[in-house]
Amino acid sequence: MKIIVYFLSMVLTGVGLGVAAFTFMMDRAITATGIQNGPWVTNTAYGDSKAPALLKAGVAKRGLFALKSSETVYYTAYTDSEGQVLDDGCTYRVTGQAPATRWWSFTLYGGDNFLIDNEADTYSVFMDPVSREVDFTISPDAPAGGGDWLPSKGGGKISVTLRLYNPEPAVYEALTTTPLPSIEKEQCA
Amino acid sequence: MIRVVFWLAGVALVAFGTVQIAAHKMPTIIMAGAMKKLEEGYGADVNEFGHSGPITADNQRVVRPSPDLAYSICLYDLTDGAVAVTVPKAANYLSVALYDMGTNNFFHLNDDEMESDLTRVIILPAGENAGSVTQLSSQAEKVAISPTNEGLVLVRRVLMDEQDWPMIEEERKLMTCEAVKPN
Repeated sequence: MKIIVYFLSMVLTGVGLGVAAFTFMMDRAITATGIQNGPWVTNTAYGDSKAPALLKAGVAKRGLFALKSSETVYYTAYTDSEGQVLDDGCTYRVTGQAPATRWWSFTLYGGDNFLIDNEADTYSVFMDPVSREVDFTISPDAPAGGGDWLPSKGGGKISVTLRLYNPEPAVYEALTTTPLPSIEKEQCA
Repeated sequence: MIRVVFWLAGVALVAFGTVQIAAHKMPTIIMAGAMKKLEEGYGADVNEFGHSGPITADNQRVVRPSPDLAYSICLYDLTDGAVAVTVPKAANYLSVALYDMGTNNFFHLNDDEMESDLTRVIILPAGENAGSVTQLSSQAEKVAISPTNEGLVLVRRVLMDEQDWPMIEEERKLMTCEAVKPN
């Protein structure tokens, strides 16, 4: 009987620790193996069959059906430019310039990786067809000054993804340094 | 003391094995769940296109969708042979991406890379005999070998403006996804 308890406790503890470690590592695989550019992180292994198993699992959970980086570069920010986790109760101003690409957009997601339900049915900022200038607000309520706004209320630990479809070669050559918009926290509720 | 060391080593080994198994199985499990949701959400049978309307918080089926894209999907099954996908060259960005059951994006093609106004892609199961491959290849602009018998065709068409929808509906009439046999 003692030997059964001995081995059973070993296996159950091992499985429990394994599941906990897997969950922890899977949730961090995208950022841990990613390419950092200010608050933005990207990864050239999205959709790639040769990607490490943990990254594939992480992408399946947080970015299913991503295209390979040769088609689309996805930059996602989970923090502001000061490194603070993005929070749905705070107001952020995103300003700068989008890299040279065929088309681009910014989309806001909640902590569950889904679009955040809002009355305005507004989820993204799509490119200006003539300029690459970026200037919009992420906040729980509409900004008093107007302008492009992504509603964050109810999103919890939010994140924002910049999609670059068919970017110029210069972007691929400088994934860590290509200028990307800053994310500045203005205030928190 | 030996029993304790052996127990700890055993726990570490089981934990390591659990991580490896979970990491390798998770994409397939998530993919299977997503396929089921897409099949229900898009109302499309296997080897048939289904199309999305505007993506909102109320109708999103999988994580991190883009509201700036019009999606079309075909859940393919190669059990009985090849599947052919036909897509038109759209007025704006359009891409065809193929995903196997391990979530790998093993093929993609965008409108700039399409050589004709109507592109036909043949999806073949891995291990198809060389004769069939040659014969079917002659019927298509592109050939893709799917690592798994089931998978997903995902067509993304950029939505530059809400007024694009009538044009997108016309483009969709030209899309087909169907089982094919060698002549």
